[in-house]
Amino acid sequence: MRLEIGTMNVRDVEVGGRTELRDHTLVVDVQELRRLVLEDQHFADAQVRVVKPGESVRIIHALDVVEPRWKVAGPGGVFPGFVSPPTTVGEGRTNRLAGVAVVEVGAPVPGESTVFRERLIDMAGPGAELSPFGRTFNVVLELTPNMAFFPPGSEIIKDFLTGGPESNEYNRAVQAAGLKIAAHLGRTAREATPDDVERFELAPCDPALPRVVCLSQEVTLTPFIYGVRVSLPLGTMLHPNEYFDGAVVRWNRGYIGSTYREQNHPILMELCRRHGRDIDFLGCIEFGGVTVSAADKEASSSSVSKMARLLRADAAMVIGLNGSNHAVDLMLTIQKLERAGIKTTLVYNDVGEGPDDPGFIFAVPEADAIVSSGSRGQLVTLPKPTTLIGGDRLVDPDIDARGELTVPMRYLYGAIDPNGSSRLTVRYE
Amino acid sequence: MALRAVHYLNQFFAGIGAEDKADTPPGQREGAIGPGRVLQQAFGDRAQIVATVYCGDNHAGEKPGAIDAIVDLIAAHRPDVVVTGPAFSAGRYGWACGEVALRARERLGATVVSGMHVDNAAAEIFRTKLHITSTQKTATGMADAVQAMARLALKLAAKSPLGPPAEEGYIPTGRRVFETASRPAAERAMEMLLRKVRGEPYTTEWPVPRYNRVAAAPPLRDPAHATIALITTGGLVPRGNPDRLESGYATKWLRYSIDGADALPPSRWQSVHGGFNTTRINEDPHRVLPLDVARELEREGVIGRLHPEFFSTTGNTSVIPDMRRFAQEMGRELKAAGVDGVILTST
Repeated sequence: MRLEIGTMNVRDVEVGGRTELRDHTLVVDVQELRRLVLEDQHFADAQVRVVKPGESVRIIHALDVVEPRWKVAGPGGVFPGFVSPPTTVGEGRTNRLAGVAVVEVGAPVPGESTVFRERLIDMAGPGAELSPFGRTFNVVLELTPNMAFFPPGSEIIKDFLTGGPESNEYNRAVQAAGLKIAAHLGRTAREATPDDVERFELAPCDPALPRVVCLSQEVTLTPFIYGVRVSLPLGTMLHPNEYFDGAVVRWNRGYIGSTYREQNHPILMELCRRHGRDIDFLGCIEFGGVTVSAADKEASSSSVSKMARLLRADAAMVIGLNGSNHAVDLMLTIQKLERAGIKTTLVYNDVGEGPDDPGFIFAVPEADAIVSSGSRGQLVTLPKPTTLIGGDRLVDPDIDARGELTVPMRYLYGAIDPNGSSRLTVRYE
Repeated sequence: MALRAVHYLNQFFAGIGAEDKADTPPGQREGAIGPGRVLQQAFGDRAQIVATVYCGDNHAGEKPGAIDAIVDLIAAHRPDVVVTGPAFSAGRYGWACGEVALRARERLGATVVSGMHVDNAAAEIFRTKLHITSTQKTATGMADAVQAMARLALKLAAKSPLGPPAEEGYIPTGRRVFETASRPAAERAMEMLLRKVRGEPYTTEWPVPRYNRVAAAPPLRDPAHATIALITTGGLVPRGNPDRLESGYATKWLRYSIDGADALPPSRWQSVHGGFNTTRINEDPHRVLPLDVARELEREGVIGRLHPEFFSTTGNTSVIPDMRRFAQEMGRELKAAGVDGVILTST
């Protein structure tokens, strides 16, 4: 599977009468985008805006963030399962609009669980330095739900983590809207000559190189893979190119990343670039999800470590998600890998607070190579912005968003990244 | 100018005597004595041990006001630096070293350093509050310990940034310093993995905590003649919570009589646990403390007899040192009461 990614460096985004890429300027017809969003009956209205780095703008209630891409050659299309048929992607040529992001914005709808929901973007000040989406040209879709989809009773939250079925259906529509617009914008680059083309291919290489697999953990809030959203305690395998083509779409909450960071997955890109030179990169195992018992955890860690053994891996790059019972699944997996002679390195966010809290829910001594990719609890102070998009108040906890804010880093969209893009780290004295 | 240092020792290392002198009240000597001489060598000309203050371990631990009396003696020397111990794995000495260092820092604003083996119970109490050099278990490790303590004390006094605990030789304090690395996590991880797979040295950025593993006791040989106790971390208390057991971060454990009782009626018992939905337990408290079934087993002769009290606490966001202490206190008591086995129900 060979994928070429053509990068168009977008230097400005303008609102205009026709959506097109004019040299390095993306022109956006916001009325056209609005019409495209409103094709879906789930929305009563949509406001489309362009915000630029340096503007004193705060975007609250940000849901998913997506990079515009378009499949120029090769099978399938971008965002399979949403925008394109769910056939295997990762081959041919995909063009991307670098420096542009589509941001879905919306207040909670009836029956939606607000826990883990709030993420915000500041386009200026310290927030813009810390969050990658404070430095992109953002096409913001502010969505208003069609309340006909929320009959009486739908406000009752039945499942605390994912919310009621109506809110789930609606939020899937939100994600589909963001992906549709990202593909539509990406399409402007279909005939352009990219500024840069990088090739990603896991071609056969020197058998003496260490064989490396990447393990990426999911939590209860599992992503969509080819549009399918199921818990993966036993794991599934993906080629890194599939991420780059948008086959992995993040559920739009949970402080655990964004679709943008799956398309531009820093760890997978690093592993690909080292392939054939320092390592023989074997691919990626997505695993995890709902494991409620010790038996589930044993089954999950056994299955995932066995997949790595079947691949005859010498080493595993592990992306872990800290902070709840799934930490047990992760650590058991690392233990089983190490005991099978597979060397592990873990990239892990800190969720601990206070010196008596080691930051680990559970740990095994075999996890002896950990990169600390920042603390979700580290406080950050964000100055008062001039303009607010998405509302006036954060939810859960209820905070006035109009003034200066001091919030944990997890609220700042993408500042803490499980996929390793951030330079934020924690030193433990 | 050299820093002024005061060294604290127990009666043994001060040369007063062994266990028979553990009641020795606080005293002092001019300059460095015993291990202090090695410490002075390690300080070189950067710090001068102006006095050594000592106290018997029992006196320090048991006599009210003893720690303040020790710190009074230290204060008179106006120290910049106070070094206590090293106490190695001696628990009472370790506790005194920790308390003296803490109090000296609070009262005098001095730079303080102690030294202990990581398994010393005092290390767990004080590691988040002090810099404690990690030592060997016994005084055979004195030379290394004192060298490391001197280095650490001088660095702290100079307010120089510390390296990782493993490098500086101290027990991790749990303090977090938020930083921005020169490269993103993805690149650092790639390098760490390459080093590890190539057999080159690598250092974790985040050491995992040590959990003291508890070996499981052998199975009961004769349950039919055994005394069994019931314990729960499910926050079970008499309705109204008269003893004010906490819903989380428990600071205590409680005991309640079940002598002659066959059941725990929901009208009289409830859970105050704050980490889960307690509705089901409040409908039927046996879901967290199986007194009903245990009585049946007692009547059927499957177990010998039930201990007449159950113990209760809340296992929710608990601090490990407190929980360890609860277990030790409960264990001592059950052992003294001749209890052979425990049914421990968690949530």
